[in-house]
Amino acid sequence: MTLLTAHQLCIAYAGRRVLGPLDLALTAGRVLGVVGPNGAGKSSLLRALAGLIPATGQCSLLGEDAAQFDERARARCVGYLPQLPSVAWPLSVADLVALGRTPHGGGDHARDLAATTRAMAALGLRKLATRDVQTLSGGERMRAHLARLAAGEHRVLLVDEPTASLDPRYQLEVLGHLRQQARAGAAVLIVLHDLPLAVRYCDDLLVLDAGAAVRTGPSLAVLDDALLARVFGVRGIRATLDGSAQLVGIASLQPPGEQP
Amino acid sequence: MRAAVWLLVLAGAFTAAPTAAAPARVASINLCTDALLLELADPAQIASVTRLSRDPALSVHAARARKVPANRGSAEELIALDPDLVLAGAGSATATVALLRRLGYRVAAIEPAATLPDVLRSVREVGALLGQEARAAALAGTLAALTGPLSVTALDALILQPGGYVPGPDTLGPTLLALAGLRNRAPDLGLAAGGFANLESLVLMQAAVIVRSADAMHGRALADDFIRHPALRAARLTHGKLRPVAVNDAAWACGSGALRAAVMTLRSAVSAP
Amino acid sequence: MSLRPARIALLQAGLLGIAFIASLAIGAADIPVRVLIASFGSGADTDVLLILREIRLPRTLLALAIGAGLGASGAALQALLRNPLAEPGLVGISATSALGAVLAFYSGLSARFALALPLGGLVGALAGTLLILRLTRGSAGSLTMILAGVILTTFASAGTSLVLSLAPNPYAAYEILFWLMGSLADRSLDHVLLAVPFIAVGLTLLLRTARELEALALGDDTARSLGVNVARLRLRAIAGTALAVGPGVAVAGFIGFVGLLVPHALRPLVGARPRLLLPQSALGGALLTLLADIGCRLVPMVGELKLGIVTALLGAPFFLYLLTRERRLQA
Repeated sequence: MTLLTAHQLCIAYAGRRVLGPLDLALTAGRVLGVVGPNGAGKSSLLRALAGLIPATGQCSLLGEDAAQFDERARARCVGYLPQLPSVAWPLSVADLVALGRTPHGGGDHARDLAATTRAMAALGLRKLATRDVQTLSGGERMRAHLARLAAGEHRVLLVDEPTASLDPRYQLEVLGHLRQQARAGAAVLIVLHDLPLAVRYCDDLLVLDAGAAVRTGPSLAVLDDALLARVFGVRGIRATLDGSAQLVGIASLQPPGEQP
Repeated sequence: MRAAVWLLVLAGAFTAAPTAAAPARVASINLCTDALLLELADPAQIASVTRLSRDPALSVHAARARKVPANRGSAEELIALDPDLVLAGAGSATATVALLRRLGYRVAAIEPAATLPDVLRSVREVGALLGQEARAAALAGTLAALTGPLSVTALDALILQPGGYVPGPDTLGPTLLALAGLRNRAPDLGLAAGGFANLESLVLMQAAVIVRSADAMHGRALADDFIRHPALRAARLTHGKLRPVAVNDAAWACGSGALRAAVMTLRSAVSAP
Repeated sequence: MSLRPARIALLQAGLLGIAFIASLAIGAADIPVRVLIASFGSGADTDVLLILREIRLPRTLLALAIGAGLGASGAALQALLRNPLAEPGLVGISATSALGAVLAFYSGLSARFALALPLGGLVGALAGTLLILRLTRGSAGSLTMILAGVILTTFASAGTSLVLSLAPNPYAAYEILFWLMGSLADRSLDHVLLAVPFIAVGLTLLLRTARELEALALGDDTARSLGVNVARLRLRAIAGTALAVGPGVAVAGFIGFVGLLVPHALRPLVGARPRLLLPQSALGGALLTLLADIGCRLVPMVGELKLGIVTALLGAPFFLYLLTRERRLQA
């Protein structure tokens, strides 16, 4: 079921076109990865879909015109996690996760508590509930922010570079959690820099370059060598995993025959 | 007439000034000597008084002062005026006074007055300097007459200036009260030497009369709020004490003939029901 | 964990009650306690009752209201500017309030129209709050914020001195100490009526923004994605701060550091979340200011110690300690 669509989405900033026109659809149960070089407009796309910056074009949420949603309703539907999230003042993990319930207005305490507890359990944060978020390790902190996102029970999740600055182990953990969220019924969009990880954890990929959509489709098919060379200036190293040829690494473009 | 001539000769003999002739042009650089000058001199004798004297809030002779050139008390202006005599307050503007004397001008430093005898002495001294001994004697006479017996019964009183300041014996405040037949309660507040009163002690004090500054100042300041504090108003309304009587501070700030007006104002206000 | 804030609030309220009574019992005139109590019973309006009603009660009420306003606005500014060192005195809002009040007072405007005084303070506070937000936009660093506060305070204080020097009344020049160092001495019920209603409205506004302020912990973007109208929240917090601070400065002068000391003292006890910290800081601010004002009356000296001096003597060393601790954490 399509939860979010964007049709002819355009983002302009100070009179200059930054992104678009672009068509996009987020489906429940699937993870869409957005990749592209720096400055391609990935974060802008995310912020536009989250309603944080103005954009032209039609956008629909849960089948309805997105413009019909007020701030609260949209916030209940769409969850957003920016790059390198931080906390401005000392906050316990439990309090941080509880902030994820803000769109729901605070009327139903029991439901809020249940959602918060569930989110913390799903990310293994029970023991860290009373710890100050700012004192946690990078991986633990990211889990806390993801738990905040999960507590909101959003149908659509927009996540910007959740693996930035994380140890490899935690990168896998984070992406695994997001994929699980998708399988549980959400539509997930993740901006990623790491191409092999994107292929592995995302069902579909959208490749952006200089504000335009270059290609979109199933992740296993999208990143062929021609595109890798043209957009990223690299070539792919493939291996067969689970019966199909997957991108497992990248290497610099060299004339064939030389050592990478 | 002859007595006057003799007085003149005697005064001339006792004056420290080198010349016995009355000075033709006299300037004053002090608010209090301004007052004495304006009261005792012939109009033609007055070369200049300070700007301050033009302000009715600071001087009772403001109207007269406006007809005369004004100075800001600087040596430059005085040199331009070239007066025969300069009147200054003793202890103030010492640098200016020293400079003028060094340049050869004759400067008389008049001590500020704190008691009635002080005032009488200032009046006579300035009168002698100006060659106006007769006028000075007459003025001194009216001031001396203030010490006669009074028909009013002694009431307790206190002088309150803006901010709650109670003037001490270094000013003419206590003298003013005494001449009006009022008993000064300042010592009971621990302010025998002057200082700021606190509201609470004032409310508790059983003084009948508060002598406060008349509203002569331009503009507002927080200092005005003290006199107008609701606590004092309430004390007056409910207990009939601390009755305010307004007297122009300018009239008694200086030891001059204006003191008489202040005393008479106070006496009539106090004896009125 | 949920009981603790309630207990802290009760403790503060209890201390406030004691301080209230102490404030009525202590003053320039040494009135024995039994005389004070007796004056209530007699029914007649004695001198003692007059002192209590017209002199000690007003300053007590003002200390409570102004202190609550300063404490709450300190906590609110710390959330708004995302900096634990923010408070109305340090970021220049109190100084601009003083300038607004002084303009309204010495121009004679408030003599004709009494509300001009608290409104002058309010306008000054609004200007200061808007300016500090503009100057610190985008940057959450302490250095920028403190520098901006220094700029505002310096300019506003200089402006205040200028107005006082140019004022027609000669006593004005001597009143700079009141405006820059604050005092509750000889304030009357008139002053209470001029300031407290505004402060009450400001406090209400601030308390109502506390819940949404919490989301600002995650940054503007995330807060907006959580359905919080950040722009409107900002405006309400600005309005609340201006109302809670401006009129208080207009009747009592510049009292600094309360908004810094109180939230910091309470954070370890009730946590950093605005929803709890803000109301607790209001209570704590009232308590601290009242205690400081009682202290002013107790110091044996001619006249009375200025209230702002006491809060500055407590607050400045504490501020220095916080600053060095933050620098050490960053290094």
